[in-house]
Amino acid sequence: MRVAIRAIGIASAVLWVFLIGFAVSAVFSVKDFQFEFGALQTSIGPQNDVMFAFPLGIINKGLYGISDFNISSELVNDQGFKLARGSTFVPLIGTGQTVNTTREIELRFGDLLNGSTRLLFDDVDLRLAETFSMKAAALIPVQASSSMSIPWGAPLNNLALGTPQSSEGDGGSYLGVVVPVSFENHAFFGLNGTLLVHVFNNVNVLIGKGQISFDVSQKSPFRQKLMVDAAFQNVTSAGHYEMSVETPLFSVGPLVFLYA
Amino acid sequence: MLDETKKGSDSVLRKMVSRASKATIKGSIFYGVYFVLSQYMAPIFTLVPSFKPMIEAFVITYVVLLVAGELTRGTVFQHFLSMAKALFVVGYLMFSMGSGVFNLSMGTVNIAVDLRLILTLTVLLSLVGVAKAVLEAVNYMNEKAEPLAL
Repeated sequence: MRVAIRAIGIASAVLWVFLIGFAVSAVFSVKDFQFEFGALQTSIGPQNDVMFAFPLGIINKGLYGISDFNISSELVNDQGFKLARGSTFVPLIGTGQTVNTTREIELRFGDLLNGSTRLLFDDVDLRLAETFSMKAAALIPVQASSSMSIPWGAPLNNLALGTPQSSEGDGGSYLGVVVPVSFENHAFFGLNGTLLVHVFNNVNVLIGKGQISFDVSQKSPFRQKLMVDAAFQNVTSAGHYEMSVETPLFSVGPLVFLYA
Repeated sequence: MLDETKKGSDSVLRKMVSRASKATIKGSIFYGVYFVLSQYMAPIFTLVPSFKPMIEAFVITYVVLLVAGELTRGTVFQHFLSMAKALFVVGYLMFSMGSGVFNLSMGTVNIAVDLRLILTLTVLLSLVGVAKAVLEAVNYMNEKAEPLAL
């Protein structure tokens, strides 16, 4: 019996040494695992989607390899509505290895507008929730989560239609009405398209309509005067506009603006 | 007769000194191992300040049980203490590691480390220690009960 007990003692001592050594070195190894986050890159994809790209360098200076490395990212708007998600998977990062990867999130404008058309008109901070998961030393699952905010510049920021001003008409039944249109393109992309305005009087009768094309580069304002031929007998001092914006990226409208 | 009594008390004293020396050496080695490991774990102690007192409490209790076990060597109490030591490890691990998933918050980053596999292996090894202590106690009682060969 003594021999058996001694054998158990030796085996258990060896296993204890191995287990403690492994646990300590694995935890110590995680400390030498580093991330290098690159600057956010934004672009418009081939199918007119907004592309967010986050370059990431993963450096493993630890004693063990890192397996099943996965990053899942979720982009939500300021009201918590999910706009897009993406994930990046690296099967193995060996010891002393550096892996450079890019996390890409593709945001369709349709989804963006389903979330809230506010993103077209107001600058907001989008929230990017990220979850990193991996297996340290192929055995110990580690998960880290964080969130960061991404500033979103509205392409139609401060969109406004001013008070209609009369200009010279044809001297007959039509009156030339000038509608000042302005907005600022705060987005990271240039915007071109057409702006269509219907002018209604105070009893909802269509007075006239007009359209204007625009091509506004990023971070630039747009200020133009839209000419509308209005039926003279229907013109009143107050009423409303119905405006639609058509661009290759998105279409929005009709939006209602009151005038007086 | 007096000589025999003197020899007996010398032998007991020698045994006590030997046990005390062994206990000191074992305790010192255990603490030395902890001290070396704690140097490597320093960054983790900085990240999780509550981790160090937790480990220290474990080391102190374990060393006390180790020294007490060594001092009572050759008696049945040694086996009780050995069993207590193994059960203490199991209990301590269950109590301190909870579900085995550690959550750590550093600013906006939340980290979760799943140590369930390590916990399971550690508990199993501690249970082997309990089994060994039980076997040793049984063996000790057996040897005591066996009639001495003439």
